[in-house]
Amino acid sequence: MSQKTLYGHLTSEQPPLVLGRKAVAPVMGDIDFHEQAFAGDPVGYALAALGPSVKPVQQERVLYVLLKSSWAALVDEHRQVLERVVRVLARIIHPDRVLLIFLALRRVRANHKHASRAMLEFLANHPCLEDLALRRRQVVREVFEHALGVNTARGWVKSMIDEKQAPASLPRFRHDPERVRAVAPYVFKLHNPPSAPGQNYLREHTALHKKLSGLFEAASQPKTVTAMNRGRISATLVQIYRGGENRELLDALDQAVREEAAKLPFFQGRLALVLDASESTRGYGEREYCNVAQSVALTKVLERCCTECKVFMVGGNGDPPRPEGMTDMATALLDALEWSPDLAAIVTDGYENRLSGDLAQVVRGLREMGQPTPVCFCHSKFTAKDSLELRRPAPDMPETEFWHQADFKNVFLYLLGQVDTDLVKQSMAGQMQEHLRAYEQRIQT
Amino acid sequence: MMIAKNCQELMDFSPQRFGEPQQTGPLTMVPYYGLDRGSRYTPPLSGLKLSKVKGYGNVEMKNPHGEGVAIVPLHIGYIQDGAQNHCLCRSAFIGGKQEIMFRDACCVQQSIGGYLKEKEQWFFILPLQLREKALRLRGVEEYGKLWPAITELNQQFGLKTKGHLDYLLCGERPRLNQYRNQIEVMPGQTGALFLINGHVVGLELTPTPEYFKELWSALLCFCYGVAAMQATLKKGLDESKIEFEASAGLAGLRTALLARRAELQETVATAVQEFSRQQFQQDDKQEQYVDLAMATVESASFMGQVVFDGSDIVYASIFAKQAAYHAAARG
Repeated sequence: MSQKTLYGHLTSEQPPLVLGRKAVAPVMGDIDFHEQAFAGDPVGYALAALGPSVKPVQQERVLYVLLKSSWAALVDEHRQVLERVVRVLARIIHPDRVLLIFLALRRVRANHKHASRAMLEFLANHPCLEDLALRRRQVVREVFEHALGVNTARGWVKSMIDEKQAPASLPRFRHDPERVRAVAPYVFKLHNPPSAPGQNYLREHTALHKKLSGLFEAASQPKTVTAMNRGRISATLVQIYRGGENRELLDALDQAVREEAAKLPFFQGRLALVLDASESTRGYGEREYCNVAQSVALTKVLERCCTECKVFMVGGNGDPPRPEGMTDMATALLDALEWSPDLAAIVTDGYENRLSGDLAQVVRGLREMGQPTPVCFCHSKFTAKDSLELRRPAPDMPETEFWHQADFKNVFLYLLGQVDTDLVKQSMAGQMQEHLRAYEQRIQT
Repeated sequence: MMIAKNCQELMDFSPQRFGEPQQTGPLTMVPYYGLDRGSRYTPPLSGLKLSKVKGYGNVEMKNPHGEGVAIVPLHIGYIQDGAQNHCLCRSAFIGGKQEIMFRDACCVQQSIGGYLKEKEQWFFILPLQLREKALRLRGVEEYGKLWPAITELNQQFGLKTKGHLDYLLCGERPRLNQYRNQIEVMPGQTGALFLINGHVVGLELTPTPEYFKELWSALLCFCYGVAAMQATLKKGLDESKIEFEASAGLAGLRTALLARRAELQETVATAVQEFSRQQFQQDDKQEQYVDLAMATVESASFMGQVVFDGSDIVYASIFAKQAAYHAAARG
């Protein structure tokens, strides 16, 4: 399966995985796709779940498929990576959904050792084990039973409360045996609830996500977004647009672009950027120049991160381009593709006024003629919450979005995910390993 | 007495006066580049103020500038919180430092109390669907005269059936505001032709680019934007496909794209030609201001008001009548 297909699917919305009360298997329309992707490249598939813009519903599917599938044919090194990804996914997915996935594994009778270990590790090491046991007792019990086997689980718990017996042998993955000892008998209705309910598991999950939020994208949006708090590059560009084109600002711009480019991976290939600097990107009032500034900021950074990059301007004049003129993205895209790039991206505010609908027609035409070059749409927004409902001139096109400089890396990784050359695949795999490490570190702290 | 006027006497239809069409959904705007008639004409936002409402239906407007003349845009209206929103049924001249009381203004917000004040000057232009009715009711001193038409319009949009234009203008404002980005005013533009589904539904000419720029948002979003929104509901979005030979590659696709654009240019040119053949009857009840004259004009499908400076036209707001608009909206 190509990298483009895999990332394209993982970044697309799908209905959530559903498990009926008496269903023998979960409802998941794209199960074949996921199983095929796992069979093709288990490690690449697992790591892709931590990639940019991957939807939470897709991460749930990946976790389910990883635990349901056999790892028997994998070498130790690959198993370790998969184990780490499972551990991270089980923490970043909502705990209720994780429990649902475990239940789904029970229904399909998936009892691989790695799945049992993952379940026990999730429960035994969960920071809110007591609260989980109190609020989701029945499900937790079912998960214990499935992971250990019904009789083993019950015997294990009985041994905990039977003073005559020697202390039960405790599974090796437990960091704090005493906490499990306090909770497990209650889960099996052999003891009173734990005296200290501990932290609310829902709140803990929200707090964890807050902690992770600034990891690969802009930290949570400030209360008031202004021209000056969307990253250094765009702030400097806005100053330049407002008439401050002096040496100090130009140097600061160059410096900020260099620093940001150093954080991004390098693309061994030709990148064509269609930059929309038409009149609509000017904006007005306090947002004047913000949109075009962020688009230009992304362009300037990406120009430094590939072997060859060519910018195809739509409207605009000068450097940095002053917004003016109409938005003829269709012709600019054709110009870009005639340059034979490995990847083409359209950086725009999403408003097309030069014969609206032309871009959608061209994109449809490109698909019909089997144009191999991936073409992506990069939405430049003012805030993270901007609605894109009426700003999709070609809704069929793969798209990503950014409002802050901190989103640039994600945008670039998303773009690279569309390219299928070996060099890019290697680079992406390296990046995803870094993502995995970063997740692990952040979760541990 | 009515004076017959050929449309070509009203404006210069030379192709060089028109810019490239811009299109979004069913709405097309063709920029018009007329003469810049200088600072004599004060623009509607900075040069024209609503001073007060003295009893419902009585709106006082003023031109705060010492010199020059303000041409009140046809069907201008004001929206404020905690006040009954009003709009004017006609255009007028207001000289420097002059104040004029419009006693034939109409309320566009049924059953809401409070008077508009000078504090906010956020204005709109009546939606296209209401303009014929409003212009015909000029001179009628009854502030609730537009409520039935507004109620009907709200009904057509599936909104509450009341004479509240706010339901549409404020309730749909996020959607209407998007037109501002989808269609852009061009530098030096002094007017525009608006088309719905390839049929002309409005001609707007102003004396200067500044005047047009200040009028632009209100005109586009609230007058023609509402019309385009209804046309989209009626006809749905155009799902036509570009026709080309896949084997011809990128060059073939480009040729097909250019052919499609040429086709649209031709559609626009035909529509403009058709519009230019309209025979207008000019009302003889003209309003005068020094050498300027204002008249109401009407043809079989259009009506509006125009301002002449001698034989030159300096301002025009001509729009499709109800029947012509609905025919265009149905495509």
